[in-house]
Amino acid sequence: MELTSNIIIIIGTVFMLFGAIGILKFRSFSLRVLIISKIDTVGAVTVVIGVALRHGISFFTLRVLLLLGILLVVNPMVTHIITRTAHVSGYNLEEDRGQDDT
Amino acid sequence: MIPNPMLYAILALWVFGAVCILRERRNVRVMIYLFIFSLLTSLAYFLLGSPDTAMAEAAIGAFTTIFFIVCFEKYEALKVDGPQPEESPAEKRPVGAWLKRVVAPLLFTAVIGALMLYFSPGGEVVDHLKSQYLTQFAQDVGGENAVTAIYLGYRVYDTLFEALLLVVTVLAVAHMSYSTSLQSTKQKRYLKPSVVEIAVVRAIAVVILLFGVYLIVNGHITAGGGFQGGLFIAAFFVCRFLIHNIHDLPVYKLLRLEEVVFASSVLIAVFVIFLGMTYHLPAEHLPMFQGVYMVIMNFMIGMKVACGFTILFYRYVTIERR
Amino acid sequence: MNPIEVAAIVVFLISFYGLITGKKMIKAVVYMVLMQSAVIVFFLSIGFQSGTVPPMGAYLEYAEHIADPLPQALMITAIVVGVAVTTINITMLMAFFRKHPTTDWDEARKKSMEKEGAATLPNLESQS
Repeated sequence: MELTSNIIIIIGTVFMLFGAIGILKFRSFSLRVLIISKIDTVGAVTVVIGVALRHGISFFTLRVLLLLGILLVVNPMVTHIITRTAHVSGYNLEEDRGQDDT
Repeated sequence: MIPNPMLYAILALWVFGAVCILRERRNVRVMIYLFIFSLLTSLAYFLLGSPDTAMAEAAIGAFTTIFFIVCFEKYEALKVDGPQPEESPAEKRPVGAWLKRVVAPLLFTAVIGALMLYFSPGGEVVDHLKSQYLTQFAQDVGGENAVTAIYLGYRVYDTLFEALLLVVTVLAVAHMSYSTSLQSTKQKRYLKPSVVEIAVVRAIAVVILLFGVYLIVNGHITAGGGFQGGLFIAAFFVCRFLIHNIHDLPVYKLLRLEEVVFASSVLIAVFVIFLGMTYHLPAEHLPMFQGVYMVIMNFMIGMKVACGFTILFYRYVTIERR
Repeated sequence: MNPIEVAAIVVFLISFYGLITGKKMIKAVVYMVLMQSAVIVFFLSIGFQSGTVPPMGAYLEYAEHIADPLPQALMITAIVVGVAVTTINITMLMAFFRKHPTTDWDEARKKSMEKEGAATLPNLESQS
């Protein structure tokens, strides 16, 4: 159980590392939003599942699972709000050629 | 146990965040850096062994960022912050001005820093009061959280004056901020929230409210307390604003409520602590009485803080618009 | 020398340098927030050793190094005072920006000097 949880946590952190590299590499808004959503959902959820596995069945695991539920609901909504606000305020995806954003 | 390398990594990032704020020119990015800086500060507090302060700092950082962003939203010109500084060539700038603007403040700061580093205690502080507080607080004030016992028992005077300061601040903001009439508040329309946003925020708001109440009620047993719980309850009202787009909250009635709650908390503290009511009780009823006192005081402080921050948020958002 | 205290002092000095050289009003408010958190970290690091635990709950029974509860209780008060100062600063900033539409210290000083010079010079003459 210990080894499994460690492997899962390491996988989650590797997801986050790739996300961080991607944010530094890509310059356009849409690609960055895509990568941020990956970090928020895949990386965070994997790490939290690993932490829950490590502690077995206890009251602590219940709280971690509650946190997991909140993460699963809130993080996609944040990405949705960012993209929708950019769309409403007139950001054009066609002209998104990867300039540095202001 | 707390791993020290993590604390040092967090502190290094913390100093780097301050340097980033110093170097950044655009105001919106300064706000983002400030939010990250306050999150790092909260982590550092937690690793230094004080979860109460960490929780308060996390909530406060979020609220401060919200206030700054609302301020930008009111005045678009603040976002850009005037004309960009014209790039004057280096040889045109006289040397004396450069000395005056950069070198002299740097020297001044360096001298002050050297003095502070020389006279800093370096971790060799003898804390006489610590052992006394840690051994006595369970009998004197009650509860299991030494921090709550100190700010509700031994040092309740500080807490009352802090509460008074917050009341005065809310009064000042409510009266200093610009307000013509409620008609002008409806000129600019906000973006209507989408279906996803409404559904998720409506679900999350209940969780936030429950968490705030949990922090207040369990403030004397675990980490948490009136102030942190009150901030979370204020966050619940911010969520309600996001969903329903309420613009005509009765601000002055809330102000009255806050004053009444503050006055009653002062009365309770005077009767219980200053008049020494705990000494006249029989010993077998004392723990229950102490628990009830701490829960009631935490509840009062939490209600007052929740009212105050709700007023501040609504005041910044609805009025002060041109 | 304690590295936590050094980090707190460095952040304090960075924000101090920004305060005395910066040109923008908003960044002055931000630097005050930074100074406040530096001071709080300095106070919380008093008596800190490796493996310090929070002073609450079951830790009190068996833990070896317990954090000092007095600075923590004082620092919660300090955080509240800090946020009160920040909100008042933001309100004053907005009021100032409404009156003189600038956020640069030099320009603001120039504009207010112009206005006050027009307004106060006759008063001085009449007094003397």
